[in-house]
Amino acid sequence: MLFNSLTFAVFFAVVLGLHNLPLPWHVKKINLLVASYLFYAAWSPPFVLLLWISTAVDWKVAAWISATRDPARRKRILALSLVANLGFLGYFKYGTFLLDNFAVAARAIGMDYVPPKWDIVLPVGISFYTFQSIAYSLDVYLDRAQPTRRFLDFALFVTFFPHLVAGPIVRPTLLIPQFEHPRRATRTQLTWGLAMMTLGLFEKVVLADGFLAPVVDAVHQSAHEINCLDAWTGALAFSGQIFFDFAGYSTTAIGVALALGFALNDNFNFPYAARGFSDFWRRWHISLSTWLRDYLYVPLGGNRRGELRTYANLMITMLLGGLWHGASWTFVVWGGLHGAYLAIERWLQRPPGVLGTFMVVTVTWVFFRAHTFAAAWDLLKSMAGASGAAHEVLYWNDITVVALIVGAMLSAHWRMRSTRLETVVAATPAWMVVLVWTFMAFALIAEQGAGDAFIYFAF
Amino acid sequence: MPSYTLLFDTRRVPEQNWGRILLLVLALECALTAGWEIFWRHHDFVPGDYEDTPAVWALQRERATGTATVLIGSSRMWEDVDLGAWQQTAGVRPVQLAIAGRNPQPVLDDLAADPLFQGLVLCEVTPYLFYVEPESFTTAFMHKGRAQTLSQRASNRIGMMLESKLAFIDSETRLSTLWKRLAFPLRSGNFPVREVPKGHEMHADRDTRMWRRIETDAQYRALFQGLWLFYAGGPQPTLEEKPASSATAYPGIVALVDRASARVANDVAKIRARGGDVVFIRFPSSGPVYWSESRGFPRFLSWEPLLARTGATGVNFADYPQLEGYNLPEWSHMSATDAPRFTGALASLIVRCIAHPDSKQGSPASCATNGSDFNGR
Repeated sequence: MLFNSLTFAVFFAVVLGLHNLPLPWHVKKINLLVASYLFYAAWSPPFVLLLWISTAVDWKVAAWISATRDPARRKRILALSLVANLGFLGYFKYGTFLLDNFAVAARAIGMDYVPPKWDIVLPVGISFYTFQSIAYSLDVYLDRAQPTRRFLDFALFVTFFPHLVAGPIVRPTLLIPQFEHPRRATRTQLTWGLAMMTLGLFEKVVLADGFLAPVVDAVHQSAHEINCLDAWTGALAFSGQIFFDFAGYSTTAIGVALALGFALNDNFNFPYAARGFSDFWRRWHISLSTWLRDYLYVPLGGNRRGELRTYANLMITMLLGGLWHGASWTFVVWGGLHGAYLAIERWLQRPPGVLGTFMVVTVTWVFFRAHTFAAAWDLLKSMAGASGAAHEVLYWNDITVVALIVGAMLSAHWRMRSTRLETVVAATPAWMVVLVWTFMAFALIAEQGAGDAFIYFAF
Repeated sequence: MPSYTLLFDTRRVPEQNWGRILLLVLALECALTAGWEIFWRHHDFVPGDYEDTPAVWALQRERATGTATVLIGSSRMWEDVDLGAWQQTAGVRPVQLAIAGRNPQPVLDDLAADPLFQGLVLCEVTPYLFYVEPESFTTAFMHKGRAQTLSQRASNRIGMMLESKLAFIDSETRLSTLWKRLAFPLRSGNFPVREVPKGHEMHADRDTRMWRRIETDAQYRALFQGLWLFYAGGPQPTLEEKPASSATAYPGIVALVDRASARVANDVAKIRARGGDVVFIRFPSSGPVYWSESRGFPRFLSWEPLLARTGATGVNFADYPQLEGYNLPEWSHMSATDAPRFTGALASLIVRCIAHPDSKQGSPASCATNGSDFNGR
């Protein structure tokens, strides 16, 4: 179910109503769990089975790990969680990719291998909930946390619908304790939650889908080589689209959870005001970058095993982070480039400025958005002004609106880089809050929204 | 503990009088939405005018089963055929599966491949769309309609409920569309009309009429005339009547028609084998659009080979006086006022064609050759 759908509006009203009835806490949690499964099943009922398996495996794995101190046995039990979760990911997300690459490699050494047609549907959100589930087993394995005593709390942690399909990736230590005692939003939490939902949906429906996505599509789907201005407009529009799409989802998720009385962690912190790439990754998709840091980079040795190993760890983490986004070499290159930027920044000990960081990030997004390297090169060539008979595919309407939205986004990020949304809202006159909230809500209604999926649903 | 994990269990809520803010926002929102609705109602938008989406199409496709009468094609099938008038004449309400601006062949393939369908297919043949328009757009549209999740189906139902009450729910009134319509100067690669503007009103079962603004607003009408001329004529559109010949035809027309005819012949055979039938219809066009279509796709190079190859019945408006002389304000589609009368004439003609035994035997254009209305043109 998409947050930006009419079905969700009805669903959320029902869930909110049930959650505020005078029912026992245990019953309310069961309501939330059932609602979360419905939320997921509304996309594809059979894939709820995957959620159940992932939940059951990590519940048992954590219990078994905590019951023994034998390191070899703990490792073997942990392997069960990793094999199950990464196995699902491997099969559903990377199966075709691996098979295709195997076929290419086989052909390269003279074997005539044609892979069978493998038409696999990617279960939505699988990359998010498997990472969240693995984190629970890893925390117990690494003695960072004790397993929870209630299966219901753990199942709800994995499945809780606000974060289920596109994050934020929530740590067990943050969310599971919140299920222990009755929670209901106060009137102010409920209202601020609704305001955050409006902001998130405004970002997604109006800015990302309504104004920026058509420009990005026009540039990336052009059958001709395009001119420099159009190429840069398309690239800048994608910087805006990917931010408003994903940050919009995260903000809505946080607002939904808050309206029910739960706290989720921030996932974005005005990333286009980052000074350098390590700062960027502290601000962009924070829940993934910190997951990768805590469960991959640090266990690999982090920066504790010498300079060379640190660079290698950075590259491995970012390459796998790139691959997490999708089964394509373009994502690997995107991750690898960010790994290289982090390594160079560390070596030079001097981060680029805010604008420099943004421009490099924008150019690198080309690999993220393009479906093939050829398409990425074509666009990069156009951005460099090296295209031959370049076509003007965009209208002045497009170029103007991208300039306005991306300009406003950059100035907002710059202004907010050292503060928080809550601080700014608290310091804003009430009449201005009313006007801004009304404007966003009205724009949402007027734009109507076509119910387009969030980009990160596909990851 | 992992370094990131924040051991917080509440989020900070900014200090404001949120109760009062929420009330004010709700009040302003209601007022603005009501104003927005009134504004659009004053600009020819009406409630009960539905957006044509793949989901709405898929709902109708589910009804196209058994001996149903099914309409496929593009916007002429939408606007020229009035479902109510057809029902009055033929006794059955057809299922509207036409998709505006798209090649109907994948829809015909789909019906031919459906063993549960054994009805009558009326297929619009608008030359450029039928022979040249890529089929991939139609296929993608159909697939999107059918691959909907449960949630999307539910959203579609709720959306249609809202559309039945609110006039402003229309892709034409979206903020992003309004921005696109602003008159910025054109760049060298820009087409003067960016996207086809609103041209119709659609009811819940995709029964469709020409939008009244086309009939009442000359400037708006001229926009469409330019558009249709661009699409109709192929390489040699014309604003005056000129003779058609092989030299004026769309490049590669023989191969295009041959390929399309071979494919639809297969579909026609499949549908007929199950007891159904297919009738091809060339809807009226007029003025420069008709002249351009005739020059780009001369009848002897397109319509006649199609009927000969498929053995199907064909109704070309130019062959029947009762299908001519209607008001086509932008040279391509029937006015809302004339559509019921035209539909009545078309329906009675087709009912007679289908009832004629020759039409079942697959003689080409049997309706025309055996019908008393054939005027020999």
